[in-house]
Parts: sequence; structure tokens; C-alpha cells
Amino acid sequence: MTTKTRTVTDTVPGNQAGPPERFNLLAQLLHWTMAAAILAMLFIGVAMMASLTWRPWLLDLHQPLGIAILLLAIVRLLNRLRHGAPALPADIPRWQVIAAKASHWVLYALMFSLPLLGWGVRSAGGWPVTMVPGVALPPIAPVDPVWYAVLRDAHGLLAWLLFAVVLMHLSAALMHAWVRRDGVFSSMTPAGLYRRYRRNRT
Amino acid sequence: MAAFLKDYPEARKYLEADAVKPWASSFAGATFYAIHAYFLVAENGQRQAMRWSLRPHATFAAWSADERARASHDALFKDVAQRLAKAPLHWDMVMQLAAPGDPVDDPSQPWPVIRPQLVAGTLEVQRVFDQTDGVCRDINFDPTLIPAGMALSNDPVLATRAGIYAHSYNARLHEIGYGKATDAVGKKAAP
Repeated sequence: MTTKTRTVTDTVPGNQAGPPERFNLLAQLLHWTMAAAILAMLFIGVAMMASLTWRPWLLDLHQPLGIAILLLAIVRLLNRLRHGAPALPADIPRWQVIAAKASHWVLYALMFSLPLLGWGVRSAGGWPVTMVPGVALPPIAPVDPVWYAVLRDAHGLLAWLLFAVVLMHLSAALMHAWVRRDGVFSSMTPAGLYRRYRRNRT
Repeated sequence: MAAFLKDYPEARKYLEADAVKPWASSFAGATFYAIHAYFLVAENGQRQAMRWSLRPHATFAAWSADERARASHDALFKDVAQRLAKAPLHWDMVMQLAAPGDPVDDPSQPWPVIRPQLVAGTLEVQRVFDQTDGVCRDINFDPTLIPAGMALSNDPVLATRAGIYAHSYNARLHEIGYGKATDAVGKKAAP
């Protein structure tokens, strides 16, 4: 791993030690928890619209899980703005650096917009967002066919966009982990795990 | 069709019953049966399986094939509007309570008529609207949207209807929302 690094994301001003080598533990915990939750949500969403058997209970799961992702995204964004991200290796082509940075902010935008759009779809349809039976969130959009049509389309289209960006993100991560082996992947894994991995390889 | 009816005897049962069942000459005297079972959930979690129907206060009058052939296209709609011009119409919401062992998840199996029935409330209809200026057009009549205190049975037809209705609702509101609808907004379809 090269020691010369280039900062590609905003770091904490006044951090004399330079950008962190790894995402902090909270960021890592949120990343992997939300990765599982978001991947599950994408499949729940598709299955819910395709299945003639599982729709009621998948819909019951889709709503609280979506709101949980929204809340976690808030914590995650604050943590990211506060602590920044590790710098990427200096030998990464400029277009990849731009793609990495852009895709991360697209992911953040979708983590916020998809749950809010879903909440809006339920509101515009006149249905509550039910967390558990008997506990519902207030509406955030008027009950209106135009609102419903637009929000529903946006929710579906952006979900497919999220799926595409997640696949790109995963492909790039595995490229760093298995082909370049440049420490970018392990910046999202706990330090102990990475040391054990290196030890087992040699 | 014969092979289908052989595989699904409950469909044959329905078609045979429907063939001899008299038609109602007015919506006012027609009973609405929600054939799916739901659970009423008590505060202590106890569940009671239930099926509900809307039983009219007006008396049922049969509509013969002759009368139907002579009636105008919108006869039933005109009839209900005329009746409502004079007085509201009423239906009782009747809940039939299952006994242990009654088939809860199969809408093709009626429960014995001796099962206890209770009137949970009364629906009063005061006016009717066209869909273009009424409030019913943009509602998804999804039988799995239920209030707190009730739970869905495992009736597979309930879940199937929820799935199908979601798609047709999305398609319908897409048309309305993007200005492509015709009948729903009172516009004539392009020839």
C-alpha cells in the first residue's frame, strides 16, 4: 500500500494526522447493517409487487425497514460529515476517483429519497405508514392522484437506479479487494479483520 | 373449461349457484357478501374469526330475464338515484362469527347459517356521485387494508387480490395523474 495519498473527500479541518486510513467503527457498523437492509429492501420491493401470496406481510416489513434506513441514513450522514472518509490511493485514475465520489453521494441521496418517496406514496394513496400494528406515521403528502402517480413512479425508478449503483459500488469494492488489493476495501472493515486476512495470505 | 372445473370443483359450485340465483331488481335490496374471513383481535390478543356482509333494510325483489331485457342500460343506477332523492338507504353490517373448526382460509366454503350473527353498525347512503366528481375513484378497494383491532386470515385469495389491485390502482392513477385518463375524468376516449 502506497503512503502517498490524495484526499478526495472532505476531511475534518485541523486534523493534523491527515485523513483516516479507515472509516470509523460507527461508519463501518452502519455501512454493513445498511448494506444488508438496503439489499433486502430491493428484493422485498420487487417481490412485493410480483408475488400474489406474500404481498401483505412483505408490505408490513417494507414500511418499518424503510423508515429504519431513513433514520440510520441521518446518523450516517452526520458521522460522515464529522469524520470524513479515508483518502484513496494516489495511483487511481482521475475518472475513477470522480466516479467513486459521485456514486457515494448518489447512494446517500437515494438512502434519503427512497424512504421519503415511499412514505409519500403511502400518504398520497391515503394509507398510513404502519410501523407496527396500530402505530402509524402521519402523512407527508396530500391524498391526490397526481401526487400519487408521480411519487409512485419516482419510488420505482429510483429503486432501480439504487440497484444499479449498488451493483457498481459492489463491483468496484471487489475490484479493490481482489484485483488491486490497495486497502480501499479494508478501509470499510475493522482493523483486526484486515490484519488476520493479511496474515493468512502469507 | 371442463378440465379446469374438474380440478377446481369450488368454481363449478359457484357457477351452478350463480346460474339459478335470482338477480336483484335494485341495488337497494341487494346483499353484499365479503366472502373472506378476518380476525377480530381483543385487547388480550384473543382472536375470533369473522365474515361480514352488508344486509339491506329494503326488501329484495327479483329481476326476471324479461324485465332485464326491456330495461335501459343504466336502469339500476337511475333506480338508486331516484330512491335516494326520496330517502337515504341503509345496510346493516352483519358479522358472522366462526366456531372452532369452521374453514377460515377458504372463501368458497360458507359457514353454517346457525353461527351467531351480530350487527356491528349501519351504513347510511345519502347520495351517489359519478366517478368523475366523486371521492371513490382514487381509492384502492384493497381487502387487506384493515383497521387496527383486526387481522388478516391466511385466505390466499385475499393476498392475491391485494397484489392485483395494487397493479390496477397504479395503472389507473398513472393515467389520471399524467392526464391520459378518459372515462375516469369524464373525457371521451380518442377514436
